[in-house]
Amino acid sequence: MRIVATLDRIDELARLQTAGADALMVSVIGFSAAARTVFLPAELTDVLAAATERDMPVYIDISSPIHEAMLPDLECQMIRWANAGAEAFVCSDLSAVAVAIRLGLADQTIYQPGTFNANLYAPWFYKRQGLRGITVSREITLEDVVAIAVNHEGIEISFIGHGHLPMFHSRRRFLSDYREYRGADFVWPSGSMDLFLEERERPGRRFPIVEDATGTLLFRDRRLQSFDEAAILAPYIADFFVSRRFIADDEYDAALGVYAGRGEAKTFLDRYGASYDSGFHYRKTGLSKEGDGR
Amino acid sequence: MKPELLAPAGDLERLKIALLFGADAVYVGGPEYSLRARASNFTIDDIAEGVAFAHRLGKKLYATVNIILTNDDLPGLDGYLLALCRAGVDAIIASAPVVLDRARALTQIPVHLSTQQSVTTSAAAAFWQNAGIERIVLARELSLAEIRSLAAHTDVELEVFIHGGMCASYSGRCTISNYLADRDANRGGCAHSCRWNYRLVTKNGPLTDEYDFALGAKDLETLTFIPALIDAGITAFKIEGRMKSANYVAATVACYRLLIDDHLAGTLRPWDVYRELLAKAENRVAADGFLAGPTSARHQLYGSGMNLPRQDFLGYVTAYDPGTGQASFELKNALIIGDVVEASPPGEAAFVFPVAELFAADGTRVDFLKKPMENVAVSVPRFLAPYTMLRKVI
Repeated sequence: MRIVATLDRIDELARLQTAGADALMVSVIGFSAAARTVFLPAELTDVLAAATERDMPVYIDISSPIHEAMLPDLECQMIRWANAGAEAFVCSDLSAVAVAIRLGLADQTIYQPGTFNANLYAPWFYKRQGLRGITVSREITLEDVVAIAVNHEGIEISFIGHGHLPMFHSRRRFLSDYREYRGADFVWPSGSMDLFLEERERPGRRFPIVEDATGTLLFRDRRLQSFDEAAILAPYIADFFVSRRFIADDEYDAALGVYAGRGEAKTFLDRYGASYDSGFHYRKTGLSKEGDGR
Repeated sequence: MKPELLAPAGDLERLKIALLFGADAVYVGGPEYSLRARASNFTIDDIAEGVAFAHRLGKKLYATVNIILTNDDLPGLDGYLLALCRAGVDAIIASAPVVLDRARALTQIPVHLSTQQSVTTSAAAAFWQNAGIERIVLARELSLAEIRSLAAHTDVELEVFIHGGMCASYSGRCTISNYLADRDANRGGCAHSCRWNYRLVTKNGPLTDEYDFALGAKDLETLTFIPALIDAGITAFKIEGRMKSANYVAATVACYRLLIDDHLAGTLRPWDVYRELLAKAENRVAADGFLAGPTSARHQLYGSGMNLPRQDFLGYVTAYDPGTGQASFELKNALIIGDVVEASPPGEAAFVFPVAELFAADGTRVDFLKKPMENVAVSVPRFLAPYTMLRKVI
């Protein structure tokens, strides 16, 4: 199981490797959603060269929804990234997967839609398309993840096991719209990464909200941790993604260390545990909830 | 090419109403695997009856099997698809690859790709076409220009949402309901958490006292875009709303039916004519979605979300007795002698009449009716077909 960490700056490559990262996810201009930093084409060339020196594969984050006008540029960039030595393309939108297949890059492509890959059949379907891998859905139980991971053959299964995960992605620009709605007198805070939504019936719970060129993403209020679960999944999955959004460097490095067996989960949780939960690992969602009056 | 007008049906009555008022096809949810778990979903027998009704009119019925299946949902899928096949459905609307593959392996029913897959490009359309999909319901996030461009680069059938509710997120990608309410949005349990009340806060505290931040979007209304969408070669136009009322289905279908036919005949009327027809339904506040390009504050639901209809819906005719001249219906809103009622028969022009006689459930003559859900009658000066909509003119 490779631990895939997000790279924000080229000068931290060695630090992330030391912390426990086996591979790097990098965001790219124009095709990565809610990224902390994006790499320009020339910068990406440098990243790929530096990562190769350290024997660290680089995955390209293609998490933006793709629209028709983006297709020609996406094709060009995927060819460029492949030629420059990118190991894999992690695609949220099936449009990007389709482009990769058309370009003969299916065997470098991981389909990571967030939802959708929720049952045993998904790996078989995408194996038939020649994909390198799929990432299982983020809203299913550990039991379901394990069942999918164990019962596959000929396609890699990956898992987003750690971090501040999104709850939805909209094409709408909710923050800009709200600003327009409130008018010119509304005092707007600086720093778009520091905004949250609070729901009336859930006071004190803060859901990070980020608007960028791709639209708006709304995130869970708690970070996901899977320290125990990673050990269960390790024999069966190829890549374990450690998401980095909203997480400080020291906390991120400590998490990588735990997954790499270089740190203690208890130590991590004693320090940071208040902002973490186990996501849907042991929560099976259904069609109705007793007592939910909405 | 004449596009298909596709309407929602929450039960057999609304199915019949949709088809009689001009829909070319209806889509229904079955007892399992459908995204509207709280809709009064059809049994397999209901679906078979609906298919027979649609086919008698030369129309079609599509069954939604569009949840994102988890492992627990897999057993039983084959049996369900075979049951739909025996019921005679004309297509299955799917979002999960397993449904597509099993439907193709077990039946010859065409499979349409649900908007849950949020197809936004010709590349994705080609992918699904190669996988065996015969029609793609496009993402609701596309502009008219994007739809035109996509349509020019594919030969798969395309279906576009033209009216009704909009998701805040790209469809199929949302897990707010899962996270906040333990209800799986992608398996039919959406709690509509995007329509709850939020406010914007920073690490230093809230920016407002009011919970007035809107994630929820206004409904979609596309009247003025219909001619361009027809000219773009779109195969089917879809109205959203399997949870909506009979009145909504009738009014919305009748409006878009008239508009499509008028455009194809070169006899478009002033837009206000179509807007008046739509206003007969209980529509929420609406906007044009993404069709004109990027959305803005005017597309969001800040504050109230409901338009009040101009006319109170009274019910639809269940029977007409030529001997007594009485039309029977189940009462929805109060009615008194002297009120003016608009009768809108399926496929015919509406007409109005003053209420001269009213009859309570026991057949006695009364001056007013006010108890909802009672089977009552009103004297009408001419024959009214079953499912004629009765609306009080305010």
